[in-house]
Amino acid sequence: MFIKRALAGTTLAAMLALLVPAAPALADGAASTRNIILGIGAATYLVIQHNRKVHEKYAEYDRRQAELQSENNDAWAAYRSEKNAYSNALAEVVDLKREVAYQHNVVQQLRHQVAMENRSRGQSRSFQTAYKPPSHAKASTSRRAASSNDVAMVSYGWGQI
Amino acid sequence: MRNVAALVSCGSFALALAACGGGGGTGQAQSLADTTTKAVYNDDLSGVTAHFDDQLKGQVTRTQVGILSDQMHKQGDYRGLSFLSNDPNKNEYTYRANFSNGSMNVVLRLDENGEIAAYRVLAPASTQ
Repeated sequence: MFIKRALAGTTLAAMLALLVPAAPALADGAASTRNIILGIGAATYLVIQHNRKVHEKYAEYDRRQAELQSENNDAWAAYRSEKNAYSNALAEVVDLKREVAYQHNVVQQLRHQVAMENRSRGQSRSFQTAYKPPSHAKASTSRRAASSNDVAMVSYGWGQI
Repeated sequence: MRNVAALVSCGSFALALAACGGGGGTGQAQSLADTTTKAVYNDDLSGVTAHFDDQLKGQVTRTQVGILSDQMHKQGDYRGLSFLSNDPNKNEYTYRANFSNGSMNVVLRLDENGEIAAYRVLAPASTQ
C-alpha cells in the first residue's frame, strides 16, 4: 500500500517536472547541472508533501481508531455499569424475597397464634357461657378425648367451672 | 374388759371422724348436686336455685331449666348420682347422673359459704 502510494507520488512528481518549461538547451554544463539539481529538489519536495499527506491520513486513521477504541471502551464500561446495576437490582430482589419470606413466616405464626387463641376461647366458652341452648349446641360443641375415641360433649348449666 | 371398752371407744371415734370427713368431701356436695339435679329434672325453677349463690341465681331462667329438663328426660328416668372426682383446689366435684337410658356428667363448684357457685351438666352431643 505504502509502496504503491510512493510510486504514484514519484510518477506524479516526474510528470510535473516535465511540465516545467525546459530551459533552452545550452551548451552550458553548469546550467545543466543546476537544472538537474532543481528538478531533484522539486521532486523531493513533492514526495515530502505527499508523504506528509499520507502521514496525516494515517494519523487521522489512528485518531479514528483511537476514538473507536474509546467508544468501544465506553460501551464496555457502560455495559459493565449496566451489569453492575443489574447485579445490584438482582441482589435487591433477593433481599426483597427474603423479606417477603420472613414476613410470610411472621404472618403464619400470628395466624397460628390466633387459631390457638380462638380454639382455647372456644373450649373455655363452651364451659363458661351461662347456658348453652340446644339450638346452638352443634355449633359450639366441645370435643373431649375419651381413650382413643373423641366424644363430643355439650355443656349446659350456669356458672364457670 | 377395760381394753375392750377402750378399743370400742377408739373405733367409734374413728368412725365418727370418718363420717365427718364426708367420704372424701363429697357428702354435702353430692347432696346439693342430687337435689339440684332432681329439681332440674322436674323442671322446678325454685328448687334449682334453692342452693345457688346470689350471683348464680340471677343467671337462671325458666326456659333454660325447661330445656335442660327435656335433655335429661331424653335419657330416661333419673336414678341418682355417682361420684367421679373432685378438685379440692377449686372446690369442684364431678358426678355421673345415671338415667335409665344413659348418663350425664354433673359438675358442681361450691363457694366458701357452701353454696353452689357453678352447676353444669355435660351431655353427649348425640343426645341433641
